[in-house]
Amino acid sequence: MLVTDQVSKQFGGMTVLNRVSISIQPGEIVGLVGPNGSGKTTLLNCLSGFLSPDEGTIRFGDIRLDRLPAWKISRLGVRRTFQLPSQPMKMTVLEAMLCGASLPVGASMFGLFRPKHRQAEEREAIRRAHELLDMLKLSHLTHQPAGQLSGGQQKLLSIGTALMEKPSVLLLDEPTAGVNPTLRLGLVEHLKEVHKSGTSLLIIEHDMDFITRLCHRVYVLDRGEVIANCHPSELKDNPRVVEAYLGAPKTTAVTGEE
Amino acid sequence: MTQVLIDSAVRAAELSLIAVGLSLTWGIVRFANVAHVQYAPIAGYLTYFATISLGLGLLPAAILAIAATGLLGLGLQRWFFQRLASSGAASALIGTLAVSIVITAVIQTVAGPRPRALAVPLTAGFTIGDAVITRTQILIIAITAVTLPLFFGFLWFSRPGRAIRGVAVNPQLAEASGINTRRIRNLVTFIAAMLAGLGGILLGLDTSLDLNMGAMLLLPVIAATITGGIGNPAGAVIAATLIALAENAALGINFGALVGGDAYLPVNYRPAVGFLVLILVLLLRPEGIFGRSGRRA
Amino acid sequence: MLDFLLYLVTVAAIYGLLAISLNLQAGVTGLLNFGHVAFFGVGAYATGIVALHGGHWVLGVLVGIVAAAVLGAAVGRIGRTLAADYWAIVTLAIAECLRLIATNETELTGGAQGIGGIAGPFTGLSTTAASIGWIVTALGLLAAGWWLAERLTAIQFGRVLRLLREQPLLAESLGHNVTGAKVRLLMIAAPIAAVGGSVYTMYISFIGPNQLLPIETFLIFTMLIVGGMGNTSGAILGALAVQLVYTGTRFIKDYLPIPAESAGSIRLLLIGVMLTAFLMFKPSGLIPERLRRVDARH
Repeated sequence: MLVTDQVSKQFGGMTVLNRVSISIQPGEIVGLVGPNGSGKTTLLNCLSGFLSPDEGTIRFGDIRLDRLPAWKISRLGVRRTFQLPSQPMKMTVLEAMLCGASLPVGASMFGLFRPKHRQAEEREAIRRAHELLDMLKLSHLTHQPAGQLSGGQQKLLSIGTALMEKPSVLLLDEPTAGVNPTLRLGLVEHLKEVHKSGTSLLIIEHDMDFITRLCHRVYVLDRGEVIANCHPSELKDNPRVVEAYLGAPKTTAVTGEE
Repeated sequence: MTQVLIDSAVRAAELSLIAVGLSLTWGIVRFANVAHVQYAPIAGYLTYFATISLGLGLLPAAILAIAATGLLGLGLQRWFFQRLASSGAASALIGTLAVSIVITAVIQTVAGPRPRALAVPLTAGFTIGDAVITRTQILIIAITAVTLPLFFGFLWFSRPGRAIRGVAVNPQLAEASGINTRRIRNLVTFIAAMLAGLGGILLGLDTSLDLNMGAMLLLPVIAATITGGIGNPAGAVIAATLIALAENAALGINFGALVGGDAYLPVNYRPAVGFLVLILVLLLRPEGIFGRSGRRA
Repeated sequence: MLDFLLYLVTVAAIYGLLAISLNLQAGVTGLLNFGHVAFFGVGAYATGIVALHGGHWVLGVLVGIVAAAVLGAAVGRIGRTLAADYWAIVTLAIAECLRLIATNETELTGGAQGIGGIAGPFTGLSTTAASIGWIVTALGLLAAGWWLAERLTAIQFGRVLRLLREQPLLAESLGHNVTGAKVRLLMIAAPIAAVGGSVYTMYISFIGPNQLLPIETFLIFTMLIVGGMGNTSGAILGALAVQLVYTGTRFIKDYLPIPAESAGSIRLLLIGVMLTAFLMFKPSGLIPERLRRVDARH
């Protein structure tokens, strides 16, 4: 469904991605792991349109994504979260959630003159927002300023905002970094529910336990190249993967602590 | 033609002195200091009042004025802009706009709206072909030709100079390698304000001191700074030269061939020439002609 | 005294419109428009030039609105790739270029002398009737502007703008066309300022290039900072406060022994000190921006 074909990206002469070909099928949960600096986030930026690849193509179904702006890709149903918490200070959690919804009447400047339609679509979005906030255990914070939540809560919230439009594919950049261990376990359950409701997931993660519990398949990137594509349980038996990780601090690979 | 070159050289000298400082501070403090161009009239008027009220000669008055302008620039940076910058570049930007207007208001209050002339002994100029260059203009070019190499020598070969460039390129890395970025910021704003002050005095010698000097400088100086690349003073000098040439060429060209009759661009449109250069550069190469990294939003 | 009060309120209301417009750009969307006075100028000169050619004042206002929207869209397109401080400088430069044109194209704009004797809806009425007509018009427009800005900021349109002010990447990732939203916002904000320009021009029946100086933009920024960036009511309160100081200081010269030619600069100095003080000690202004609580029945 979401397929990259030989995608390469360079920054100032340094090759960050080298002919990366990956695919995510409908109903899959795919992990993307690799040492720091292996190009995981760059790949995710290419997939979501925040960077455009130097070479190669990215397809979503029949649509070429690699030359589309990020917002169009998001509207097609491929959404992402960011590694760092990035919620607005001057908005409540509920408002931040509504930003994730597509409200065509309210988003137009003429929506002002169609109050009935506008309120109807907004009511529907608020209902969905409450549902998601309940699921993410954030409902007690509904009217708090979004930017003042803890880092972990902000990451949960950003997953929530991305889910407002029921995306076909959700790209998550380190969803558990900075999230405390209890929430982390909960997050596995949340993401399973998200998956059940029909969203495919691509997850960048350092926490191997998290990957093993959740993912059907995992890609390993090292220095911009895919060095493995297997079931999470097969990772520790793969000599290339073990070698790639020996260069990085061992704790990163094993526990996800930074 | 020779006249265009002479006028451009003088103009380039004045613009460069102001633009190098803005380029360097913009690169280091990370916001555009709109008030930077106002350091020029400040030093000019300080020189004027030092010669009139204190009875100093032009040279000691100018040195005093340049030092005072440097200190003012340093003080503003330390106690005002830096504080605003901590709550966002937007506040700092508005703050520099505020300071810029306050400076104009102060000058108007103290010196009144009439232009003032610095006391220069009037001497005949030299004739080169059909062009004329005055002794003052030679002096302006000479002083700039000495000052800028000194400045770049400092920037490229001295220890603090290297630290300055380090901070401009990567502040985090510079901080991590033991450079006191705050001290560097102060040093840079001090030097930049002094250079702008010198430029203002030279400009005042060339023409006269005018309330609108800062406002008239804003567009060409900013154009030179951005065209040359933020944080790249050498680029600013080259860009200032290009803009000075463009200004004088545009004013000297008879557009009559296009529209019939004699049609010169009115002198009043001079600031717009630099601006047109700026718009073209921003649309085509926002990182500047000589800039290394883009600053696209 | 009554005449003076009428004048003060009318001018404050007109500046209120300008402040509302700038607040939509700078306060809500984070677009630091340092050339805001250009939108005012487009409305003012459209009205003046149409009047000069014997056109009806309604035509002048409409031309101003359309021209400002076009200028707003153009300025927004330029900004699509620029960092915030570059954009601020570019807008300042554009406004300065428009002022140069206004000063130099004498045949079109009257040059440095400006355009005088501009007729408006209340031309021909007695002074008192015209003053009352103008104050009602200005306050009516202010109320309309307030409603428009307030509602636009509250619905999803404005929510997206407020999100992209703080987190442009997040807005993009949620499917919002950031450049498009900025352009559309400018196409709304610019005409609001242009209407302010038209009304001002007809009210004092004069427009000249000295009303397009960057100082005017600075004055409106002061209103926003004093009132509180990001909320419409703050912009209006700021407009009133600054206008009070600005107009009030006209009387300083009656009481203090200062030359008349310095009075203008002292007024400016006072405004500058006011802005500086608020920036330093109360950056969120008299009415800080509040969180918007969304309720299901909303």
